[in-house]
Amino acid sequence: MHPSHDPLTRWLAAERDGLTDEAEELLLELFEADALPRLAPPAGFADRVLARVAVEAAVERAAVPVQPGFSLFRRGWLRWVIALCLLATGLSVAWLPQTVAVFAGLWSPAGFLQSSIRAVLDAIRWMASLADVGQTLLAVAEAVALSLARPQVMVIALVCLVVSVTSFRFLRGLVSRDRSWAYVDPI
Amino acid sequence: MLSDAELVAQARGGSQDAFRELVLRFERPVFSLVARMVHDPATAEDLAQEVFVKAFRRLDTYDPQRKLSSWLFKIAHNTTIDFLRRGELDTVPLEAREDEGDRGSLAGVLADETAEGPGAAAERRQMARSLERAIARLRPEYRESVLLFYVEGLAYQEICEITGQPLGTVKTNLHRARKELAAVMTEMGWSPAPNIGTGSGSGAKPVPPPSRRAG
Repeated sequence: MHPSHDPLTRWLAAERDGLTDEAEELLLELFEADALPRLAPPAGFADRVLARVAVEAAVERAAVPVQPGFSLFRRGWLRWVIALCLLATGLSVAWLPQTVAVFAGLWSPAGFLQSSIRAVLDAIRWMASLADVGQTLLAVAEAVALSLARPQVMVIALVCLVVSVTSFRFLRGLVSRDRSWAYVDPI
Repeated sequence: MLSDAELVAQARGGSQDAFRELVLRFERPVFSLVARMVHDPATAEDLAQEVFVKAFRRLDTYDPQRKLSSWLFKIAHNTTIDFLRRGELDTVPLEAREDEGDRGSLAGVLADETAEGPGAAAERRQMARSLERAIARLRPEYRESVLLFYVEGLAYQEICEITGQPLGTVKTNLHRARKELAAVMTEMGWSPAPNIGTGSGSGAKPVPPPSRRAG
C-alpha cells in the first residue's frame, strides 16, 4: 500500500475513535502531503488577464458608453402584458371543458346552435360575474378613498409607504453587501 | 526575487511585468479556490480573471501589511458569491464519468504522475479523486473553509477576514466539515486503520478501497 494512504486511514480511524486533536493533525498531514493539489488554470491565463485589463482600461480611456443590448423583456410594460397573458391563460383553463364541448357539438346544425346559445349564455354570465367583481372592487376602492380623504389616515398611509420602501431598500442593501453563503444556493 | 509588496508597488507604478508576475504567482491558488467552489472550469477561469482585473483596479487600496494572498482570496470570495447569486451557472460534475476517464474533469489534473511510479500515482490519484468528490459534497461555507485552511494553509484569522465570519463559526465549520469529509470518505469505501498507533507505518494496514464508483 502506498504510504500516501497512511495518513488517510489513520485520520479516518481517529475520527472513528473520536480523537479530535489527532484527527485534526492527521488531516493536516494528509493535505500537507499534497493530497489535493491546486488546480492550474489553462495555459496563457496571465496573458488573458493582462489583455482583459488592457481592454477595460482602453474602454475607460475612450469613455465609450456601454450600450446595453436591446431586450424587449427589459421593458416594464411588456412584463406586465406577459404576466396578464399568463394570468388569462391560467384562468382560461376553467373554461376549457366548455370550450371543448362547444367544438365537440359542431358536428350537427342543432348541436352547433345549442352550443352557440350556451356559449353566448356563458359569456353573458361571465360578464355578469365580472360586473359583480367590478362592483365589489369599486366598493372597496370607495371605502379606501373615503378613508384616505381623512388627513390622519392619509398621513398614516404615507408613513407606512415610506417605512416599507425604506425597509425594502435597506434590506436589499444588506443582502447585497453581505457576502456570506446564506444567500447563495448551494451547488 | 521581489516580494509581493514590491511587485504591487511596481504594478501601481504602471509596470505590466510586475502585475504579470503577481498573476503568475497567484493564478493557481485563486483558480483552484474558485474552480472548487463553482465546479465548472470555464466559469472558474472567467471568474479568476475577474478577480485579477478587480485587484489591478484596486491595487491602491491594498494594504501591504496584509498578505496579498488573503486580499486576493477575499476578492475571489466576493466575486464567486456575487456570481452564484446571479444564478447563471449550469453546473457540470466535478468528476468525470467512469467511461470518460479523467478527460475534461478537474479531478483529471490532480495527480502529478511524473513524480512517481505509475502504480503509486494511480493510488494517489484515486485518493485525490475521492477527496475531491468528498469536498465537492460539502456545503459551500464548509467547502470554502476547508479549502482555505487545509489546501491553502491559511490561519483561522485570515479565513475570518476573507469570509467575514466570526472565529467561532470558522472553527465550527471546519470541525463539522472534517466530520462530514470522514463520513463521505468512509462511504466511498476508504476504511479507517484498525488502530491509529503512533506514527506513519505503525503496523495498521490500510484497507484498500473497493473499485471506485462513478458518482
